[in-house]
Parts: sequence; structure tokens; C-alpha cells
Amino acid sequence: MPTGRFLPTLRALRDAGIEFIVVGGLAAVLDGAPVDTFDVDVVHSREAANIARLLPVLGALDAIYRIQPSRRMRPTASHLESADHQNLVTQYGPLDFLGSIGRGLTYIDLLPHSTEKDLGNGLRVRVLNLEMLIRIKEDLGGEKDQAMLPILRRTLEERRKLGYTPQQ
Amino acid sequence: MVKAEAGGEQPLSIDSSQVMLETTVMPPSDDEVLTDYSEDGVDLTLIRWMLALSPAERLAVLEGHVDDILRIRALNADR
Repeated sequence: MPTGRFLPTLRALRDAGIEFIVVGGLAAVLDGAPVDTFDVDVVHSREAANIARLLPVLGALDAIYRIQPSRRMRPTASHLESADHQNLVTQYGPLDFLGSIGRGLTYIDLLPHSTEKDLGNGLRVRVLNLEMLIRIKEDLGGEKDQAMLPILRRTLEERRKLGYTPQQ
Repeated sequence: MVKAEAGGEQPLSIDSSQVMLETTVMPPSDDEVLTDYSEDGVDLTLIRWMLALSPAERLAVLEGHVDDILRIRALNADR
């Protein structure tokens, strides 16, 4: 598996004009939370045009479902149009396309709670704000979410205390 | 055009020693507390260290961690 797994994935999606928001652990890291994660979680726009752009990108990334990699099952348009989670693995590692998160929140719902961040070399991606990430995890209340919440809350406090803008 | 070639993206490298939380002129006294934890046990110095980085640098730190962990796992795969 090549190194630098997050950037090439985000670059491929961005270059193809895919509408998506980075969520989950990667969003927390980009906002400064000292947590580790192994996958890229994104909520994508389920508009037909976006999915039409997305399918060739997933093909180029060699995306298949993680559940039974030996069967090499590939996501279809109907999978990506649903509100469900598509847990994939690509040449760069795990990549999850989430039709909705929390209690049915979609790309459109999350858009006002996201900010574009500069990841260098002209790459800008939309990332879910820490405030919303915390609200969703509080709402879900799962064990994994609860475990991460103290770090996320303290990171948000420090960001506010130090006067960080959403882009920073 | 989809760019999905390995090695096409150059990740940033971070020199941790260059990330300063604050400037200390005098060395700390022996009885000075040099840790800073929140009431719920979160290491605030780690958060401030991460916040001192740009989003691109934070991503580079994460990618470095993941690569290191996977490398160690691979080295110990037969154990």
C-alpha cells in the first residue's frame, strides 16, 4: 500500500469535481484534535450528476467493498444514491461514502456546518466543523463516539480561546 | 482527469522540534508543574501542539502516524 493515503484520495475526488464533506476522525484532525484514524469518511452529494462524476473516480481508485474484498464488489449508482454507508477500500486504504450521518443528516444539511480548508498544493476540501461533529457524536451516544468526545470538546475550547477561524 | 497514481502527492514533513507552544526564557524551577490536563484528563499541551500546525501539517502528522503503525504491524505480522 503506498504511503500518503489521505491526500491522494482527497485530491482524486476534488480534481473530479465531486461534492463531498470530510467528516469523522479526519475532520477532527484537520480541526486540530490529536486523534488517530485509518479511514477517510465523507458525506457526498447524492445528486445524480455528482454520482455520475463519482463512479469513474471510484473505478480509478480501484474501490471495492471492504466486507468481502475477495469478491471485489464495486459500488453502483444505486448504492451511492442511498442514505446508507458504503464502506470501501481503495488502493490508498479505507474510504467510506456516507449517504447520511447522525440522525439522517445529508450533504445539504451539513453544508452550512462545513468550511473549506487549504491542504496545500492547491488542494482545498470541505470539512465538517468541530461544533457539528461534536453535536452528532453527542446525539449518537455510541461508545466509540463517547470515548472521543472529551478530546473534541477540549480542542474546540482551545480553538475558541486562541481565536482560531474555521479555516485554520 | 483523475490523479490516482502512487507518489503523485508530496506529503509535508513536520519537524516537531520547530513547533513551539510558547517561548520560555528561564528554565522551569524544580517544583513547577509542567503538565496541563483538563478536568476530564485530556492533555491540553497535545491539543495546543496540534493547533499550532496548519491543517495541511496536521494531515501530514496523521499520515505519518498511520504509516508508522502499519509499518510496525507488518514487521510483527508473524507474532
